[in-house]
Amino acid sequence: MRRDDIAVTGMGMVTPVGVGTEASWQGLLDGRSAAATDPRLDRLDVDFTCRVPGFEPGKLLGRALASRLDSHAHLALVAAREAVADAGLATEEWDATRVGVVLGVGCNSLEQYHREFGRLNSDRAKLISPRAIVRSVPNMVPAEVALDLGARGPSLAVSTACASGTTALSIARDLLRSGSCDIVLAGGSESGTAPVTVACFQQMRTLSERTHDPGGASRPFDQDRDGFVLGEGAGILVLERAEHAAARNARVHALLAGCGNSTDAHHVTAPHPEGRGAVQALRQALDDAGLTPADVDHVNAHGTSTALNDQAEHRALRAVFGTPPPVTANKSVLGHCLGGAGGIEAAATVLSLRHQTIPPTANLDTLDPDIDLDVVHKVPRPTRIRAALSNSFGFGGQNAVVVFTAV
Amino acid sequence: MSTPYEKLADILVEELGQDRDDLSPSATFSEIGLDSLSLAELSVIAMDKTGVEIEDLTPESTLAEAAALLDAAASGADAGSAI
Repeated sequence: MRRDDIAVTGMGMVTPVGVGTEASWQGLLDGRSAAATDPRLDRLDVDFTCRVPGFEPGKLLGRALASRLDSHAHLALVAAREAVADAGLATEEWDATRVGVVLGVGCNSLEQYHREFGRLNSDRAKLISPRAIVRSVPNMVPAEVALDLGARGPSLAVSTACASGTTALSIARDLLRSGSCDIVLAGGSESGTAPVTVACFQQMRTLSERTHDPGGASRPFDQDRDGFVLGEGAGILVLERAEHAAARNARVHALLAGCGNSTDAHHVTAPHPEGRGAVQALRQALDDAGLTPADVDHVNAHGTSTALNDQAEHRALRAVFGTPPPVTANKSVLGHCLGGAGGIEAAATVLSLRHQTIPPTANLDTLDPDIDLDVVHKVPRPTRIRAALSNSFGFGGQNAVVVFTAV
Repeated sequence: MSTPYEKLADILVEELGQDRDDLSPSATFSEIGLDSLSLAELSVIAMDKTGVEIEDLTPESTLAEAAALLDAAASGADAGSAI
């Protein structure tokens, strides 16, 4: 390790396969989709999502705190508390002015706006919640995490759609490199499972409509894929400079070795057909890490299960790697957690490095004949992993790639 | 038929996550951890549930005073005659 390497010293996850990093990793290894029908959606054409099982914010956070926050903040607070504990940090001992929080936010809290719009449109404006703004605006998620932990350095919300959580890691890295912070909690959270969110994405024709088989609906790289499945969750990493981690004898899970960011500037939602922006971000991340494509042993794909994303991502990986290393797509199991996805998949990539195992992609029965990738499926694959990438690509053509290396 | 105080306590417990054991008529909102934004929220929820608006609450108001305002607003009577 070099002094200015960025170390991952803590992880927190809340996902549709469990509350906590250990439960989430086991669920990913099991490789079964968490998608299920939700009675809240019974008036919609798409009536299934991936929700966090047994998630009770009142029990985890206390009822008074839980009652004033919306879902995306519940998820973030639980993941952040786990990450700090995993890092062995005592919040009463750290220099709070040097601790930052950078979290990705995708869609704000559409559910909150939906509730308040309903009151406004039925002449009940006086019943609009005085907390509507502080529950819903994007900056409040990192602000609530900072408040909960007493972190008094910069706290920032980053919004690059489905790439938000990964972009947040890149911003956090820069805050550490510049010396602005000693510790940064970074990742993302989102709950995209409310009826208004599902209806909006469904009208864009981006969701799988496999209502007869929700568990088989998220099938990245499969020839029968027909869209993504909305999910909810949070993934947060504790990052610090290697010298800072060493000074407090912290356990280092992996290094955040490089970051790449780009924009397609091609279309509002469709990826560039050759993955132009993705290629740029991938190459930038590798250059930043001082690695060549041959050094990379695994790619945690964006892999949404839409026709266009999976094809464009495949082309980008072929362009950069020639023969890409083994790939997996966590969204097959977790659905698409939007602003939470990048943080969750970054944590999964770190866990792959730590356990030297790639979790399987669910529902891959027949690889799309136009996609030539080694997609790990059915069962986990133990393999040597020295460096691994995590890809995230957002609507808006916003792309972010991070590289993690084994310690 | 619950009393105004019981209605208020139910809102504090069920909607604002307060612990029922912490509540008493003589406790102030400040003492149970409610700030002015929480009081604004309480007023809106009370209006939604009871149809009446309670105003002029401060963090130093007691729960009994708030219940009296709720009762007075509901009955149109003087706050002083409630409870």
